[in-house]
Amino acid sequence: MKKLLFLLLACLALVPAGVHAQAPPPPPEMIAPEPSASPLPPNNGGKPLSPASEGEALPEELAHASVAKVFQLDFMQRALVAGLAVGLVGAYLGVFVVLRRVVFVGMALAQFSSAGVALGLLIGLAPLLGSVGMMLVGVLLLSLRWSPRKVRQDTVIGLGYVLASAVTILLLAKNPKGETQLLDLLSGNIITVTALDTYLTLGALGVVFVLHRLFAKELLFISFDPDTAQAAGYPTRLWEMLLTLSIGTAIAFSIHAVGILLTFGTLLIPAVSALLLTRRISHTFTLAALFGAIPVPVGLYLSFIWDFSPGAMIVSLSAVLLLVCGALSKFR
Amino acid sequence: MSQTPLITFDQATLGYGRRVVLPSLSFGLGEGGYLGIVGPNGAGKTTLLKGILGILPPLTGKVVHHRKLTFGYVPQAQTTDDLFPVTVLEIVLMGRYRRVGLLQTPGQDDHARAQKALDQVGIGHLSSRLFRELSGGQKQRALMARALVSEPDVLVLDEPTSAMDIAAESATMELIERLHQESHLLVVLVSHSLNIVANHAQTVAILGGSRFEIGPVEAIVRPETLKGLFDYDFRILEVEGRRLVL
Repeated sequence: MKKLLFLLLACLALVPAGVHAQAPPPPPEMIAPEPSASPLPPNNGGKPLSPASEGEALPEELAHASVAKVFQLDFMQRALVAGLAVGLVGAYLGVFVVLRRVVFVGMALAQFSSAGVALGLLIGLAPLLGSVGMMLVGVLLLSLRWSPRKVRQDTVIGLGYVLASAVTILLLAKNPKGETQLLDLLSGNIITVTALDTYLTLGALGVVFVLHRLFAKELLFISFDPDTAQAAGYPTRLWEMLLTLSIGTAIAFSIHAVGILLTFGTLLIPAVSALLLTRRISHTFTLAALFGAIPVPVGLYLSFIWDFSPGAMIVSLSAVLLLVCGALSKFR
Repeated sequence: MSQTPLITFDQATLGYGRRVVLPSLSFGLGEGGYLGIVGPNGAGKTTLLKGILGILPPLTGKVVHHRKLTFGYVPQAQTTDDLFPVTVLEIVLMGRYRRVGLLQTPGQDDHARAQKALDQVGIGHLSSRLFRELSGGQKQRALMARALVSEPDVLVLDEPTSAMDIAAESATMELIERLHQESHLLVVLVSHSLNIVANHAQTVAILGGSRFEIGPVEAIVRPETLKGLFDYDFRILEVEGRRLVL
């Protein structure tokens, strides 16, 4: 676990190298590094130099850029830092999501956060504020104790998911750029993450991670055996709310930085991979965090040179890792 | 021998919201006692258990804990989640968490106590095994070790022998009997089997429909009392000093 913390701190240490701006950075074409240090051509005929420009062929130089040169680019450094933070912490939290069988809670909270982003875009509020606000609404809604004989908890989660999805679509429908923004929200665009958002994501995920380490044994106990924990005197509903809130916070900030696909993929796939291979819960958390982090630099690099969506590439690599873990688990 | 009172129900009505499950209960439980709670599914056994544990406040009346009590709760083994890759020792250490406190991790002393508790229930050699790989009886013992390591005043067991074969059932009940005698704990045992309770508990609480009866085994486990509770003619035999309710 100390190694995991070290990796997180390393992420933080990386930030100053790649994140200089106080305000949101200029568009990608403005932030290419100095020509002498860049693999990019000094003049690209006025076209964007970033692979973020969709639907356009990459210059030949980009397709053969080395790893070192790709990650010298400011926007790639920011993407790497944000992606590693989301990968490490999201995958760590994902172990709880998978073990507690609340995968759909993660989806529902992700959808609430998306509705918040859509609301922010529509009314001119900072999307992150909207995302966090709606996530809190989602946590409260999902924490309410409904009549268990009439409405089961999984039904409440499903209702929350459907409601949040419908609200997202309605809000974006009234936004002239709604369709594009919905697509951006879904696929995410990690390489356009701003300096401010990188800092905010690191801060929020850092706080969540520290909280989880401080209260690791309590969170494990109330997850594994809530009845006994309650009998032992733990206010389990409060602890469960803290757990849901921490996962919701991580989701809200992650979605804002890297999009729904990568956020949810990170929350789910690495935890499953780790559970396939481990026989100790502490190892599960460590391995899940590593499995969440490893595909990030690889996926970013491959998506850069092959001109693919980075979020989809990272999730696909995670899935490949899952297949490998599945195969390895057969031999254990 | 008079028992030091630990828990008193004073006209306590238990239920959820406006739904009354067990009306107006009055009884006391003392140190070193052994209460068996019997009743069919849905009769309110879990509700009564929650009332004893103090996690379900009464709708009316009072449930008094005469001092701060530590409960060692043993859930049904099959209610634990096999997806969690936790070892037997890790499970037992959970019983120390309240004593260890927030922001602290279990130390060497806690590990030693956990191992001792496992030895006490006879599965010390399984401490490093995964909990999910144990048999039903072994799991139940591990959960008992977890309850014991919390140094409880009250040991609460919820259907400890459900889904066990007859041999495991006998061994488990003997273990509970031994722990009760050695530690002078108040034991609260929930079971669907009147035969189990009639042969181990000192006091029996029987729940059925809207009926609730509590008293010493000798007073409750009698054909006429059971007839009044269940409207069924029971026969009670004594075989080699053990009661057999037919």
